[in-house]
Amino acid sequence: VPANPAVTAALQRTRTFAAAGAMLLALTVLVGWGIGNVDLQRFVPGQSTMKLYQAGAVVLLAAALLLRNPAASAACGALAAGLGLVTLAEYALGAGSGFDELVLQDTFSASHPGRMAPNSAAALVLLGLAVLLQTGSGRAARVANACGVGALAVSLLELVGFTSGARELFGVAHAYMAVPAAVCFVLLAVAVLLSRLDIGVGRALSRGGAEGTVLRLTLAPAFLLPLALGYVRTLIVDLGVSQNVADWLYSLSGVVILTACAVFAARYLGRASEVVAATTERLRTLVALSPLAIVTVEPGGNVMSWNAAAEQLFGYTAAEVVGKRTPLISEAEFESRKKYFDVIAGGATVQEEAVRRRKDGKEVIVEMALSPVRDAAGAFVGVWAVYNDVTERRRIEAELVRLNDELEQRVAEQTAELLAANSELRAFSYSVSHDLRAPLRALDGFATALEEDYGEALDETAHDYLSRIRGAARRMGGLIDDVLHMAKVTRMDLIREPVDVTALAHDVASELRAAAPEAHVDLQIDDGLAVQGDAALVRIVLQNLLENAWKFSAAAKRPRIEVRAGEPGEIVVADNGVGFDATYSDKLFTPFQRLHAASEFSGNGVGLATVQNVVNRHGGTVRGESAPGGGATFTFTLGPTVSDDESTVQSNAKGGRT
Amino acid sequence: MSDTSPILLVEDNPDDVALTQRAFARNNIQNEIVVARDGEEALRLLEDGLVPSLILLDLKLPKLGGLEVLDRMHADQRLRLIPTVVLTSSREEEDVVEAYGLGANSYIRKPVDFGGFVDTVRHVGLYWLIVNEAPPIEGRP
Repeated sequence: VPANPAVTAALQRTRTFAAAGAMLLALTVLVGWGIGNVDLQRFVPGQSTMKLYQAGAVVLLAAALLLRNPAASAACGALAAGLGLVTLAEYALGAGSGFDELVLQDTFSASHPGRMAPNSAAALVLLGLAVLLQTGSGRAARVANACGVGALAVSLLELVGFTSGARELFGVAHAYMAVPAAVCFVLLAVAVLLSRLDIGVGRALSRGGAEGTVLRLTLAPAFLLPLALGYVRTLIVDLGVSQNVADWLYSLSGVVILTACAVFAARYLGRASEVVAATTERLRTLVALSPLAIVTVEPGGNVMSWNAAAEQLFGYTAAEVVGKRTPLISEAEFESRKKYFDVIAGGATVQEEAVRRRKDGKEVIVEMALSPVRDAAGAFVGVWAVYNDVTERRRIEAELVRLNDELEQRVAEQTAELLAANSELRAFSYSVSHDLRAPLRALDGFATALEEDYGEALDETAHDYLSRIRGAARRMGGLIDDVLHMAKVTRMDLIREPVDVTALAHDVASELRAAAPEAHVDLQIDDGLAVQGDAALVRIVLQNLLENAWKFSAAAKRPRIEVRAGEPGEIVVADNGVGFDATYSDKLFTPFQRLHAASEFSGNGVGLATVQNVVNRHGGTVRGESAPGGGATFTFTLGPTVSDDESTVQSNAKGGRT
Repeated sequence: MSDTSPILLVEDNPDDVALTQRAFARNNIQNEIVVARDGEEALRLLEDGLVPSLILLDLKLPKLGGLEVLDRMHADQRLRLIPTVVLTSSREEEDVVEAYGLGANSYIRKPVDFGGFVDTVRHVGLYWLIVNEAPPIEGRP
């Protein structure tokens, strides 16, 4: 049980008070010596005086205990012990050394003037050693503790002798320990013993739990009661009360006070055991209600406890298994796992995942945590096993992995199919570009040859037919080129990046102007148009839309083309040309679909199909709006339209361009 | 000084052969035109000692394709010197790159209309047979 911090603090305070009290008392005695007042040297008339050196040694020891400084403790402790030893040597040799009255003359003491009593010297030696050693570790601290106990015993004996009027028992060589000295020694011994709470008496007193409390409750009366009661008895005898009555009072008060202590301790223990019982009950409820299966097993393999969750998880009732060998693992497996018990007994918690068999034969996957069961003395008596059923979780995980694998497999298959389709398309367009053009060349070539070599023999109709044959061949050649171009757009890699639409539109426009310098088209391109897309593909879109606008507005009185922004993300190309019949606007983007007669406007009907192809590849949309004669407006986006907030962010990222 | 050695036309389509011959004739190019119908035949003719002033090579050919013919010629010390013009219907970028990589001297796409084709042949003949200084090849008259 860990020490109670409040108790520890109280013991530390007691230590400080004891050391300070001893110092105060010794200083008073020193003052008595200084002013030559005998009563201050002995406190109790008719008794021995506390000697000058003795008081000085007590001041030093008390200071060392208050300072708690190892160097000061060593110096003061050694000095005090040395003083005691010299005094003892004087007694042993039966000779004064002149040392006793080195500073002040002891005019009061008859025998051994200036020298402390032998038991005082012995107590001083013990206390000096205790103070010297109490800062050390292990053995030294234990010796200090023993010395403290010894000093306490010597000085208490003297004090009890004084209070109970039986001093003659303790005088040595007709020298008696002075009363203030005995009190000082008791206080110093208490301070020394409490200076180390991790060892010996200090440890016992500071111990947490019922043990420490009972010790603290009973130890103080055990020490103080004889002292106090003995003193009271002496006092009342001195007042004239008979010895027998005094003895009667002495015994009675002892009985009463000790009974009170016993009742107090019993009550305390009763409360403590109630707390233990309540805690045990709480723990029992917790185990009973736990959704985790909790089982305890003896080192021999017999089940000690089996909670409700364990009954549910494994299918065995507690009655079926408690006291018997655990049914969860075979004897062989149990034996092979015995080495775990050593690890667990050592205090380690083992966690692992395992498969266990239920009563109905089904297997469950469990997460298992094992830790030691200990008895009150701390001995290893079994293993706690807590099981969490993870069967379902593992099944779902496995299913997830399987589905994921399946998905990956499908993606791989589809990618392969797609690649195959793509390569077929490539082969097809290669073949188209080679094989479909050759016959056209033959058609045109031989029609020309016919015309050149036999032109004179042919009439006008025949010439017209030949020219139609050649025209058809060339148109089909152009058609093949457009189709190939469209297929190429589909195959091109798409690299998304910020595209300056304004610059691209100006670029395309200058090409158109160069190709038709005679046209006077009012081409208005807004500044700062930008999209996220593939620059080469965006150029193809603009090229087709602007070419169309150019072509269809050529007949207008004042041809006008605008390239401007629409809704966020939209680019608009509008012209004031002939427009198209809105009834057929759904056919605008169909390949080879034309809404105007070939005689009116040239073209193969592939341009807008290519535009849609590019826009689709970007995940965008394109739409055309018109009323015949009212011009045409084409609007496209590349990718889903972004909200205002996002477009602001994007435009910031692109350096403020909107 | 015009080179009068024969021209090797590697072309499997008889229509294209006839049209090419006609285009040369119309441009008054008198060189003999030797026709190979596939890549294998072309290589055999060359190995048998034919040293043409110019090779017109189609890419899509039976047996051995045009690019393979270029590859074999490129590996041969003597044949690699013969000016070779790829004359084909395709203008697949990969073909163009690969043909030049294999040592083709020129890459021309046959236009569909014959007028354009005649112009093209005239340019080819003018450049490779008259303007261009032919490399000295052993076996050439």
